[in-house]
Amino acid sequence: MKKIHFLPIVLGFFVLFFVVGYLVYPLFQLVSASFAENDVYTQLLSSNILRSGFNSILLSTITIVGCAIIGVYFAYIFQYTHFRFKSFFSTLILLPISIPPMVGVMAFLFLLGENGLLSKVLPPESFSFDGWKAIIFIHLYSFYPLFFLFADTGFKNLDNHVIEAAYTLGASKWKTFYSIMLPQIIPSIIGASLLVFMASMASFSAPFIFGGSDRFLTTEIYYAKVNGDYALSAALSVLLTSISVAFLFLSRWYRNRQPLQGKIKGTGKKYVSFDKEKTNYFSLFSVILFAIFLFLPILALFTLALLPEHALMQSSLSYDFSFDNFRQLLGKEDFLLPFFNSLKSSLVAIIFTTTIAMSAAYLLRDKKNSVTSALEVIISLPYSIPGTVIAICLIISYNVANPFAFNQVLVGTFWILPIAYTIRNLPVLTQSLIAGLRGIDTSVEEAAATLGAGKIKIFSAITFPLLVPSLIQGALLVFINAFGEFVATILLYGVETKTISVEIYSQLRLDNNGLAASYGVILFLGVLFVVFLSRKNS
Amino acid sequence: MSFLAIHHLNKQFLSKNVLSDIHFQIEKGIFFSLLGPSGCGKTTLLRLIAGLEFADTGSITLNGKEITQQPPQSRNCGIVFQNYALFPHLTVYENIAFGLKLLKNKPLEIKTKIESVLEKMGLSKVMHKNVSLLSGGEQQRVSLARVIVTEPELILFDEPLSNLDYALRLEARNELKRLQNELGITSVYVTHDQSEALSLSDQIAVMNQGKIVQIGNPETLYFAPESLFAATFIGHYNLFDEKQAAQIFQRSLQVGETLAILPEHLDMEKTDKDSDIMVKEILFTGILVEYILDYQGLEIKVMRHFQQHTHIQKGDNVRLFAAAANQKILTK
Repeated sequence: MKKIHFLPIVLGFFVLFFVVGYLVYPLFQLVSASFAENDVYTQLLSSNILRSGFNSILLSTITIVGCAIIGVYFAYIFQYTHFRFKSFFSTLILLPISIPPMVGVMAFLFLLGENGLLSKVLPPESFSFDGWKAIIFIHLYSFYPLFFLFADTGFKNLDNHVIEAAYTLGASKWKTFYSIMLPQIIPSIIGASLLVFMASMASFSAPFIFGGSDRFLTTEIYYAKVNGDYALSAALSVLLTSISVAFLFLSRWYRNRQPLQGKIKGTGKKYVSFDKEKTNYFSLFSVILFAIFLFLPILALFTLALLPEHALMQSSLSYDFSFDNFRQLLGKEDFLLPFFNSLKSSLVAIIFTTTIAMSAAYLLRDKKNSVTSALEVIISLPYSIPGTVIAICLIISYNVANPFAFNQVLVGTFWILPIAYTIRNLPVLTQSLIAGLRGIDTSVEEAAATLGAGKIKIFSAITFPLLVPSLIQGALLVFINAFGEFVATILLYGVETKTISVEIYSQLRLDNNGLAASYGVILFLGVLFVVFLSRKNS
Repeated sequence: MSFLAIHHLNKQFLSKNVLSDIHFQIEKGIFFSLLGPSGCGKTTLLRLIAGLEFADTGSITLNGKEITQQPPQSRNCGIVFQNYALFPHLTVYENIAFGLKLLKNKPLEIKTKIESVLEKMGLSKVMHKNVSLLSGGEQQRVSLARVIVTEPELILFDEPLSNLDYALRLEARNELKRLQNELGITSVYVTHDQSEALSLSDQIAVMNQGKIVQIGNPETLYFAPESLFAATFIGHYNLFDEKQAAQIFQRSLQVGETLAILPEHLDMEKTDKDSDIMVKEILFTGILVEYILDYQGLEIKVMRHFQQHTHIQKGDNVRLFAAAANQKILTK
């Protein structure tokens, strides 16, 4: 008789409780709420909502094309040309990853906005930074690193001899690039396009602040909810999620359609060129220009944090820097509240996410049956569900007492925030822990088993310690994403549970730019520090 | 006037000489090999000729044109890489067409040329397959076809057979020899395999530590090596110092001289008398039998035809002989 193992059952129950209660059930509630009123789906066909859907898709398409050009260009010059301080620039080029969305938006507002720093230097009539232009600008700034990373990996996997073969057959550098190199990195480009499309469709902060009269799906959902029209916001959420998921399946289908790529049999020794590399001044020049572009918004943020409150109201700037804003911020108790809220909800989210992801990864590690593959698909779902939609799902499901919340109402409490962050981070963390577990040689565990260790002993003494590095990495990643989260938080926070991002938004609305900037600096430095930690850890 | 002239090439890397004073000429239609151990600079020299790297000093002239500083695109040198370097996203046909299209051939002409080369290389059946689905031998032939079809002035080979298994390698070697004879394209072939170099080449340059040690035809290099390095690397000569030469062969050498004898030029005879030379190991490899002898710690190799493999056994004491004509005296 097969022995029944205690550990998988406990873990399975734990994972199922969360996945069913906080993912399947809320999604189900969302769909049923969208059908609660009869005519809600016909409302979607109204011209301004169709317009917002069209706007979201157009914005995402422009974002993909722009990010692809920037990301592939820089990946190419970092890989194939030589210039000084390359390793410094290759770290700097990933800077936007460490900038929380609300901080990025605010920084651009301070730099290029109507009363921004640039308007003090140039006549305000000579440029305008709002609407589409501003949103696209911020999207390019925030999302090109994904393309850079994917293209960089793609180029690194290219065989240098193949490129040289094209040269010796008479192909110019440009011809070699577009007919030999580019087709080979298409899978990387599709991978990046998918991520950027979903990130762009889900983007809320930039359209929210700069959108003005131009509506997008995420902002439509927000306004419908704020107006109390739950059915409409649910229907819009279903629409937005469907587009995201459809795109996910489309790109999967495309990838499977590609011919099966076998391996080129011959593997040559890696040849290291003895040529002295000559500095490519064009690359250096473009990297320096881009670095300045990367730095300027951050510079604007720090400047505003150090200038007196309402400095932007004056027509010309007086540069009397001080720490007054920070002093004010640290002095009063209710100014510190958002900081502790962000910290607390991030830490709770880390505990939730790591334990659930760890349990799920353990269950999904090797057993392939219909239950586990269904679980794997469900856990990967939030990957393509925008933060706004996750918030709407939670609101609809937990604004009444619910058995999954031990008969409590969660909306308005602190707990709803870490739960939202957990849902958002679960897919990535589970995937990386599964990869980590599959990387562990099973013979190590089998050796422990033959030495007499039971399942729990093997897990605690062998498997878990080997996974600790990936767990720490995952915990840091959750913190990076949760500490500055804005999209879901703006729909879920209560007066007592304001986070830094939400506080930044309220201070901006009160025109307290100095205070908003100071919070932004703290948020930015906090996330930067954790990014630095995670680099050291890996 | 030589076809390819390499004129005093030097290349340094981190103040180490990768290539020093490389100087030789090749006639048109010759199959020329660069033979040496890994790290001797042979691949770097090949890349210098292809234009994938550039020399610090010296010059390269191809068919009367100085090409030292020219980019690879304008040299008209084809290169066959060790890992074939096929374009993995293209079919066999498209791989071969790539260079032709760049030469601005007419579409019809391209088609005829490709079909003829596919026919010649026995690749007609797989022409519309993706190259990554081919066997190693087929991939190797595609990489050669891709170069041949553009009719380059010079074909450069970078150990193109080293990724094939033994039987296929011998077959591909014969095929390569046949093609080169047929097409008569001047070839420079890099290898570390001396039997490959000997069997394919009209001329061989032996390289060691960035220098050319000796240039000659295969017979000369095999039977008349000019240095200890060439002797051991190509013929696996046995080397004897002054004392050993005197004791074994009763031959007196000058200071600094070494006696070198090919394994197949050594004769041996069993002796009952106490001898310092003992048979340590006998390796039967087919047509040849290899005897490994031990003389006071010095390992000596003797090669015999299997029919001469008669009565000598492991552990026997033997005496050695070699005809005077087969005893080479080397000084460097």
